[in-house]
Amino acid sequence: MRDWILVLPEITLALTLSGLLACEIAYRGERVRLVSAIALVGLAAAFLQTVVARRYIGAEPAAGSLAIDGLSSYFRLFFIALAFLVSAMTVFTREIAIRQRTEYFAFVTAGALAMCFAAASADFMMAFLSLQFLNLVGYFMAGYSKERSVSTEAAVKFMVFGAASSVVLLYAVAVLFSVSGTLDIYAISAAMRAQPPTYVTSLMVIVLIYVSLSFYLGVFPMHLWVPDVLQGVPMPTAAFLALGLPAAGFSVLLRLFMAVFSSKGTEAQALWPFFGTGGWEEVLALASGATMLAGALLALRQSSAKRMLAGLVVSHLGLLLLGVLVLNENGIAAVLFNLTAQLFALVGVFCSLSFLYDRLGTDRLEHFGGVLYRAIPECVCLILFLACFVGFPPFPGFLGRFLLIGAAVREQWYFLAIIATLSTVIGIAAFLRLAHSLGGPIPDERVQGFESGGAITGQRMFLLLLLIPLGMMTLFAHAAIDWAHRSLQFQLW
Amino acid sequence: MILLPLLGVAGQILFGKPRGVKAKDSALHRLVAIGTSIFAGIIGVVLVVRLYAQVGAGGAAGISEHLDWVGAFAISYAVRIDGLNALLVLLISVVFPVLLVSEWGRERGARGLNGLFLCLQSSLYGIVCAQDLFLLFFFWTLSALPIYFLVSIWGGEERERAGFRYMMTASVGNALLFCAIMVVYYAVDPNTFLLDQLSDGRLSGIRFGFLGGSVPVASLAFTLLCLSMVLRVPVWPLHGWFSYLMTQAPPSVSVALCGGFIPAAIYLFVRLSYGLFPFSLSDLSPALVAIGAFNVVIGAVGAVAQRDFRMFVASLCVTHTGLILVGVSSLDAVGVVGAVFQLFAFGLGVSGLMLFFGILRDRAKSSGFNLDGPEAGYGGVASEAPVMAVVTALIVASLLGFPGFGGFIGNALIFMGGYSVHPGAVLILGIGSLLLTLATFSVYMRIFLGKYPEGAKSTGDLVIRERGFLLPLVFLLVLLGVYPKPLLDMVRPSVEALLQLIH
Amino acid sequence: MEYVPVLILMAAGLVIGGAILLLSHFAGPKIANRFKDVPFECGVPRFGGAHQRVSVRFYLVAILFLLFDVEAVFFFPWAVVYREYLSINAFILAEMAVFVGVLLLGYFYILKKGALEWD
Repeated sequence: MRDWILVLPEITLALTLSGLLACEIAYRGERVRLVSAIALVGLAAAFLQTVVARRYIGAEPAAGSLAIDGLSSYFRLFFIALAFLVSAMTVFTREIAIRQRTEYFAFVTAGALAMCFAAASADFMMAFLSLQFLNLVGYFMAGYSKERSVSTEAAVKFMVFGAASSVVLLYAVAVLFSVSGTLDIYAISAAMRAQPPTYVTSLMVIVLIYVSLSFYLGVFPMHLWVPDVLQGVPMPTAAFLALGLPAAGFSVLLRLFMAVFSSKGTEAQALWPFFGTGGWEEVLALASGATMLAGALLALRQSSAKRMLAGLVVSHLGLLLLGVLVLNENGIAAVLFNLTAQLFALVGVFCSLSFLYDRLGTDRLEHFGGVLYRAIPECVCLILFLACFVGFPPFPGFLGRFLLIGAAVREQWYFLAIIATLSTVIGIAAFLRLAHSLGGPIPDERVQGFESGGAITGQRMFLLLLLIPLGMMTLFAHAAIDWAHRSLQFQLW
Repeated sequence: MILLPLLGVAGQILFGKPRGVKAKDSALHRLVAIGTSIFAGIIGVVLVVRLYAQVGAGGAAGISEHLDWVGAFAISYAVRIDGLNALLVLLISVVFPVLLVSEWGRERGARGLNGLFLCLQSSLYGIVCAQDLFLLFFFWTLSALPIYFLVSIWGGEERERAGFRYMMTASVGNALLFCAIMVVYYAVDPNTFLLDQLSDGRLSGIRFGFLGGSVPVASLAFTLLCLSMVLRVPVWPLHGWFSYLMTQAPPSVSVALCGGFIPAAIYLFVRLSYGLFPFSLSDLSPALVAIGAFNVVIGAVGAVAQRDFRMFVASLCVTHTGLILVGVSSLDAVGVVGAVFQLFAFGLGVSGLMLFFGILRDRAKSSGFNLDGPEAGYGGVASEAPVMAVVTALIVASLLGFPGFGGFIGNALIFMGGYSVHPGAVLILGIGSLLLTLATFSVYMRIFLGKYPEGAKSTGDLVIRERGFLLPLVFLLVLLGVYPKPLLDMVRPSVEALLQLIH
Repeated sequence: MEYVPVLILMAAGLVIGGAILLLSHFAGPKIANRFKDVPFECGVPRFGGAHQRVSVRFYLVAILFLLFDVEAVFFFPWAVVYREYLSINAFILAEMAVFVGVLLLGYFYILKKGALEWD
C-alpha cells in the first residue's frame, strides 16, 4: 500500500496524459478551454500528491527500480511545478494555436512524467528508458512549429545530439554491467566498493557518463544544441526544455555520483570520497569553467533575444556544475536552491518575452526599441526576472550564486571561483544590452500601447504571481536552503 | 525600528507603480512617494537624535539591530547607526525628499522615476547602516541598478552609452569587491561576515595559500577594495565614466549620484579600511594622501577650463573627493572627523547646486549648457531672479569653504588634520582650493552677473515650491557652519574608537 | 581444420567472380552507343524522371507498423513464461492485459486522428 502512495504522482501524471489524449480525440472546437483546465488540474493534483508522498518516505527503496527518497521527491516537485507553469504559459501564448493545445499539454505532461521517472530511477535500465522517453518528447517538442524551418533545424540538431548521447550512455552502462554484473545502482555501488575497478575503467566510465549526461545538462561537450533549439521553438517549449532537461540531467548525475561513485562522508561538510580516483575532478572542473565562459561570451554578441538567453542559460548551467564538483552537502544544496530560483526566473523571462514576441513578431533586439513605453508591466517584469537570473542583488539568484561560489572557494577551487565571477559580470553586460534595447526615446505623447483586454490581464497576473516566490525566496532564504539540505538527508545509500 | 525606513521605502515601489493609470497629472502617487521618503527621513532623524542623546550620556556604541538571515553561512541582517554614519543618514534623509519634491513637475514617467529614486534611497540607507559584509554588498550592488535605469531612460542624447559604460564599470567594481569580501570571509576561522567580529586587527596576521605562494589576506583584500572603490567613485585616472555620466544624466539624478551615492561610497571606504585593514591603510596612507591632493589640483584645473556646467560640477566632485580622501588618509582624528563632516556639507552643497541648475534649465528650456557664446542664453540672471542668485551664492560659498558655512568647518578640519602629518599635501590643497574658487566665481559671474541677452525668454524667480526645497538646504548649510558642535560631538567618539587600532 | 574447405570455397568464389569481371573489363570491346547508356527498365522505353514523390502515408503506416511490431516483440518472452506463472496466480494475465490496454488506447487515438485513412 505504501508503495502505491509513493508512486501516486506518476500515476496521476499518466492518467492526466491519457485523459488529455482522450480529450483530443473527443473534443473539438470550443471545448478546448476545458482541456486546459483538465491539464492544469491534473498537474496540480500530481503536485499535491508529491507533497503528501514526502511524508511516507522511508529508509528503503519503494520498488526495485525506483528510489523515492528526498532527492527524487525534490525533483518531482520541480518537474511537476515546471509542467504546471509551462502549461499556464501555453494558455497565454499565441504561438501555439488553440487547436494544437491539447496535444501540446499532452507533450508537456509526458515530458514531466519522463523526468519524474528519470529522477527516481535506481536502476540503469530505468534511467536509460526514462531518458530515452524524455528524448522522444524533446524531439517532438523541438520540432513543433512545422512551418518554420528554424524549428525543423532545431529538432534535427536535438535529435543528433540526443542519439549520440544515448549511445554513449549505453556503452558506459555496458561497461559498468561488465564490472559488477548487475544494473541496480546500489548493487553496483556495493560491488565497486568490494572490488574497486582499475583506474582506466573508472576514468572511462566517468568520462562516458559525463559526456552523455552533458547533453541533457547543456554543458561543455554538448552545449551547442541549446542556442539553436531555444531559438527555434515556441516560448513555452523553450522554458520547458531549458529548465526541464538540465534538471533531469542533474537529477540523474547527482544520483549516480552520490550513490554509485562515492559514499557518504561521516561529517556533513566533508567532501565525499570518490571511487577509483579517476581524475574526474579535473574533467568536471575544466568542463564547468569552459561552459561558464563559453555561455557568457556567446550571450554577449547575440542579436536575437532567445539566443542571448540561451547563452545565459548555458553559463548558468556551468555554474551549477560547479556545485556538483563540490560533492558535499553545501554544494548540492546550493545547486537545488539555484534550480528553484531559476525555475521561477526563467519561466517569468520566457513568459514576458512571449508577450513581446506575440505582438512584435520578432525577437531580434534591434526591433525592441521603444517597447518599454508600450507595455510597461511586461517589460519591467522581463527586466526583473532577467536580473534575478543573471544574479542581481535583491533576488534569490544573487544569493544562489554566492552559495555556489562560496562552496567552491571553501574547497579551494579559487580559479573556478574567479571564472564564475567573471562570467557573472559578462552575463550582466548581456542583460544590460537587452534592457537597453527595450528603451528608446521617451515618446512625447502617450503612445498607443498594445491592446488591452482580458487575456492580457491574465498574463500580467501570472507574471506578478511569479514574482512572489522570488521575493519569498529572498526573505526566507534560510528556510529554502534548509529545505534543500533536508532533501539530501533522506538519501538512500 | 531600523527596518522601517528600508522596508517601507522598498515597498513604495509596489505602491507607486500601479497607481494613477489614467490621469497623468494625478498627484496621488507623487504624494505617496514624497510622503514615504519624508517618513523614512524622519525616522532617520529621530534615530540620529537618539544617538546624540546616547553619546551625550557617554556611550559610543550606537543603535543597532541584528537578525539572522541565512544561518548556515553566517549571514545576518545587522545594521547600526553610530557616529560615522549618523551624518550620512541625515544627508540621505534630507536629500531624497528634496529630490522628489523637485521632480514634481515631470509629467511623463513620474511613477517610474519616483520608484527608482526610492529604491536608490533604500539601498543607500542600507549601504550606510549595514554592519554585515554580505548585507553591505547586497545593497551596494543594488544601488547600481536604479542609477543605470534613471540615466538611460531620462537622460540626454547619449544616455544609453553613458549608462552602459557606467554599469559596466560598476559591475567590474562590484566583482572586485565581491572577491575582497570572499577573501575576508574565508580567511577567518569561524567564517563570519559581521564587521564587528572582523575588526580589531584580526585580519592582520592571516595569510592564505594561493597558487603556491602565500599572500597576506589584508593586503590582498585592501587592494581589491581600493580598486573597486576607484571604479565607482571618481578618482582622477579613472573618472572618465563619471564625467560622461554627469553630462548625460538629468539634474536630479546627478544630485542623487553626487549628493547621495558618492558620500555613501566614501563613507564605506572609511569604515571598511579603518575597521578591517587598519595596518594596510596606515602603510598606504601617504600614497592615498598624494592621490587625494593630486585629485584636488586636477579637478580644480579642470573646473577652470570647463564650458559646460555639468562638466564643471563633475570636476567639482572630483576635487571634493580628493579633499575628503586627504582627510580620510590623514590617520588623524581631526582629519577624519573633518572628512566625515565634509561629506555631509559637500553632499548638501552639490545637491543644491545641481538642483539650482535643473531649475534654470527648466526655465530657460535651452538644450545647451555652454556658458559662453551668444546662443548660451545664460547671463544676467541676477537681474531677473534675485532670490535665486542669493540662494545660489550661499550654496557656492559653502562649497568653497567660506567661514560661516558648513563647508568651512569641513575644510578647516581637514586642513588642520592633514597639516600635522603631511604639510606638503595641505599646501597643494590650498592651491587647489584657490583654483576652485577662481573657477566657481567665473561660472557664477557668467551665469548671474552681466547683461541679460536680448530676445531670450524671461525666467521667473523661484516659486514657492522651489523655495520650499532649496531653502532647507541653505538653512542646514548655514546651521552647520555656525553651530556644528552637536554633529561633531557625535562623530568624534566613533572616529577615535576606530583610530585606536592604529595608534 | 575442418573449416579449410569453406576457406577454399570462399577463395574460389572470389577468384572466379573477380576474374570474370576483370577479364570482361579489360578484354572486352568498348563501343559506346546511346541506347546502351539508358537505365534498364526490362526492355520498356523509359518515361518520367527518377524522383517520384511517394505518398507520405507509406511512411506513417511503416512507423505505426514498427511501433506495434515492437509491441508484438514484447509478447514473445511473456508467452514463454506465461504458463509457469499462471500456476501461481492470475497476476501475469492482468499485467499483460494492462499492457495491451495501454497500447489499445494508442490504437484508438490513431484511429480517431485519421492516421490510417488512405486519403
